[in-house]
Amino acid sequence: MLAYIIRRVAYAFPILFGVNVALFSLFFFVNSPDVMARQNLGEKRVTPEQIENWKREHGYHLPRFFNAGETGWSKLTQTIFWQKSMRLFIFDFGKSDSDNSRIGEAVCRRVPYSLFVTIPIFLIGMAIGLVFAVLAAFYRATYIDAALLVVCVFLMSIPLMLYILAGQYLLAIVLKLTPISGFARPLWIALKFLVLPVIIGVVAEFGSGVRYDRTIFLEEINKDYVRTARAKGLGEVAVLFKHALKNAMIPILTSVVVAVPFLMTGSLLLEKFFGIPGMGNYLIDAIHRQDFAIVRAMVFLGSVLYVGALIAVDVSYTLVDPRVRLK
Amino acid sequence: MNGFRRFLPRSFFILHSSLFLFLSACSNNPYRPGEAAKPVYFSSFDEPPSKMDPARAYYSHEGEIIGQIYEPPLTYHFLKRPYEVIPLTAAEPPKPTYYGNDGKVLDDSDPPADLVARVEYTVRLKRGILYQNHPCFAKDADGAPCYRNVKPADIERFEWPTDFERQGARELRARDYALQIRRLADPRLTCPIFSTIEQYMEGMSELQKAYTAMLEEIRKKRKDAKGAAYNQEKDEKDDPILLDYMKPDLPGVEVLDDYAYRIVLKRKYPQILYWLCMHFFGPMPQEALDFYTQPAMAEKQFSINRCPVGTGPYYLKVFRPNELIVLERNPNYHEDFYPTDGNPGDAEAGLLADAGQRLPFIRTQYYHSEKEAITHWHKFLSGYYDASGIANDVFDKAVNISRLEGPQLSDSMIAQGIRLITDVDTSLFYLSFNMLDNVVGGYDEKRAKLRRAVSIAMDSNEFLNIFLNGRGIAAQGPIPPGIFGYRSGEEGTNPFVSAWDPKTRRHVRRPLETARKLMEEAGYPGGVGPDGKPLTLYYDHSQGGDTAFRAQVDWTRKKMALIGIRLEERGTDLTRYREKRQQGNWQLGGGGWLADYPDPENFLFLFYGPNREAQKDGPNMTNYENKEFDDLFGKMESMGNTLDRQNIIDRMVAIIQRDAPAVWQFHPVSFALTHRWYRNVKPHQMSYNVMRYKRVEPGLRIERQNEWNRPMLWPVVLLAVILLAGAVPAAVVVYRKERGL
Repeated sequence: MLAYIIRRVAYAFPILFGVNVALFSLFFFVNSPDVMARQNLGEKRVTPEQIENWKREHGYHLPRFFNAGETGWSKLTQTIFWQKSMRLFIFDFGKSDSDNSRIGEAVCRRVPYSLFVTIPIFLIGMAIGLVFAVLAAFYRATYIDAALLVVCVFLMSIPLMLYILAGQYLLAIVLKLTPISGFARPLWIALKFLVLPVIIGVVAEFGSGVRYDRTIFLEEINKDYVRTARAKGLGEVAVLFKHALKNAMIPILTSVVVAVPFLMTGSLLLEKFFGIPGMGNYLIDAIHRQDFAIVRAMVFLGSVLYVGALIAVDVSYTLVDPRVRLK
Repeated sequence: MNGFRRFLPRSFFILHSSLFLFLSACSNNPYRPGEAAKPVYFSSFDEPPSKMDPARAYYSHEGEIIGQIYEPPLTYHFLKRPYEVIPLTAAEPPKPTYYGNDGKVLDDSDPPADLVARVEYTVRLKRGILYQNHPCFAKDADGAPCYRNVKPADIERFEWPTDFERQGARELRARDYALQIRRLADPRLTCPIFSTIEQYMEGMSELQKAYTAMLEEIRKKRKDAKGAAYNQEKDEKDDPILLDYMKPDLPGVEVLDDYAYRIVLKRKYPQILYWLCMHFFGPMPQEALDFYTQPAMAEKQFSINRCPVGTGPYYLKVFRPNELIVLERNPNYHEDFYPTDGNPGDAEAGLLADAGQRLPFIRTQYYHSEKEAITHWHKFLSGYYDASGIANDVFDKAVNISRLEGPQLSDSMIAQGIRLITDVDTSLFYLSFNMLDNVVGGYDEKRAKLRRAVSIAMDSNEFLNIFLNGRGIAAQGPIPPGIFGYRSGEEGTNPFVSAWDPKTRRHVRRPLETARKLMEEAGYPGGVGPDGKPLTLYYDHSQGGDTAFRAQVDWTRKKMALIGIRLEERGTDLTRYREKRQQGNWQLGGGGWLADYPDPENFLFLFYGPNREAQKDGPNMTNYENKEFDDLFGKMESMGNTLDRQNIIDRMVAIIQRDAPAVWQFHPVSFALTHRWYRNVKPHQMSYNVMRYKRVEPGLRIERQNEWNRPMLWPVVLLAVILLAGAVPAAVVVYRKERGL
């Protein structure tokens, strides 16, 4: 299996290199360093000298791919592509274009805040989703199942934005039970700020989660081993929770493992509306400020996490399903 | 089934306990208990300041923070209007000494600009002003700095400079101001006002060249040492370059002694006093630069751009740009008192109740990150923020606009004791014509008539009502209210476009018939040109993604259609738009200007020929050039605010009203709401250093917060009961199914 993982990691490099080149082209051809300088220097009284100074100080004065004025390896290394893009591979994200802060450190600082929100939503949502999916399977083809499905489809049809606004209005403004937004340190103080976004996140994910899990359970409970278990006289609760649940976990695990890395990137809308200083907020701020150094780093990080998640899914199959062997 | 039976009561117990705990802790109060009972101020920010170096910060959200930390030698009077310059750290505002071409002092106190070859301003500082406590000033028993050559491990545990065990302070010196003025020339800092300052101050351009050469030399050495692996950004991130700022000569600034320095200008420029009110001209201690340029500090991201060091009434205690900014009262703050005089009406408004009292009043200022206007608004209504602006979405709930009485607070706002404060912004928004364009540009009477016709069609009052809830006044020329030279009422009317309505006491646009007649005289009867085709104008912009802007363009299109003009958009990306502007290859475009200082020169230079944008990169977006206007500008620019100056300004305004290089659209009016417990609020358009005058009454605030925010628990209990009641039949079904009943 180790050889398989190494091979998959090696395969990931050309993909990430491709992402890097595409990113570079997008940011440096469509948006020239001169424009980036103007955007960062503001609208008022920007002189050509200031633009040159800004480019010089941020390393954008170099040629894009090939520096004919240098010698040896420097022809390649003293270029924007090498200095800005290649070093992303060693997770050196450089400095923000707008405030010179270190992007890597900001990422490390913000990931926990995103996790404070996304992990409870993920775990509570998964637990509630599973319970209701099992219930739906238990009451399959009854009015309860049908009603649950209608509720799920209804909840799925509502955009997250509406959940946020309605949740804030109801719980914070009308009932005055939770702060409408904000964040504080340490974590035990932050808890009161997390209640509302977590409730909203769980409710918003409820419909799709239950429907997905229910489909898998229904598929499982029609299989032969379930029929055998019932024939042996096991009760429905034991059949569902002891036998069907274990086997249903394989496809559920796939969706879960893929989602785990993205817990770190946070929720753009939730973080923005609730003022949670996580990764989603960081990315939105960067887009708002047109800070392409941060946006570039975030896109690259997202692609790394995605590739990593796919490898993790493959590996996780072997852990939960003895029939799967990686070669 | 035994497990299931055990599970049910346990889950009920856990559910009940959690619900009880949740309900008992329920409150929408975002602060720690007791926090609001102290003399503290609560506010928010939507965009964190990214530049807090006084040589780099430019935008208002940056100025609002560092304006309270760095103290320039001068400032503006808090209450008096028109704005009056008063000393802050200076003993008195400096007076100019003028020198003629022969190098001798001119006797005239206000000589004509062309006789002046050099001007000197000597700034004398008050004694005994101390910096805030900071580790950069900390010294050991031998008098050596405590924190030099520190290792990363030594400071790993510190999150902020205030966490360092050893702190110190020292007296403000003239050299600190000289150092900061020199820093404006550092090419790394891309100071936003450098291009203006270098025009006036002796030796600034040469100083920047010297710094550039010094930097290049240091970088070359580092690059040679590291070879192909050299990465300038990474190298200077890990080991910042400390320039010896004082090494090159700068004839423009001379330190006379510890408490006096001299600024030397190349020509007469009385506006320098306004610049001396800005943070760009605040003091910078060399110790702070030495402290922050150590690699270990860079590693911790302690820098002058994030951790300012000043003498102001507050110091930055917490800076989490994604979450919270806290300013704390500076215990070393020098003697400073609330003004004892103001404008007529200030005393009646209670603005002189604290006259003569020691400043500042507020102990701590909390600024919380708030990205959404609606959450900010509801926190304000709940009493958790002390003041607020009014977003467009909630304007109708907060304010009623009465034709006769103007803006009035709604009943619900009055019931909460909220106060409304309005002030006309010292800014201008306009629609530019490119004077180099073949259709709308040019200086003959026909083209001017076309531009005037467009100006009449674009009814600013209607624009303000539709897009800004009436929050603005229709502009008649380039100078906004509050700036010397502005003419209000009937005498300020732009006769080509507007008329004065004595009933409503405001300017109204001339009838559309006048515009149609002007179109006819311009050679476009009914909007049809000499070639028989309808006149089509092009609106160039780079804001295609902005929905609010698109609505404004649609409105403009409808207004133009009223006089037969077809308007087409030429939306493009910012790069292309900038290129078009630089080449003068555009037709119509939006423009705006916010005053840097309260002087008409800061607005009239937007139409000064040598400042044109095409080819010259100046702020004159319209590329307007008129010799008479330019000559008058040359005279007016350096004059004091006298009757002669007013007459010249009147003439200049009349010239551009006639030539109409722009549709003067509006001067915005800012609306602010404050709670009753927040006092000494008077809008100030020029200074960011006014929080020291504000006061809060925490007792009243706590009382109101408690009254307005009682949690409503019964719906949650009811919901829990319904859910439990619903779960019982389900449990019964499971039980019966399992038992085969």
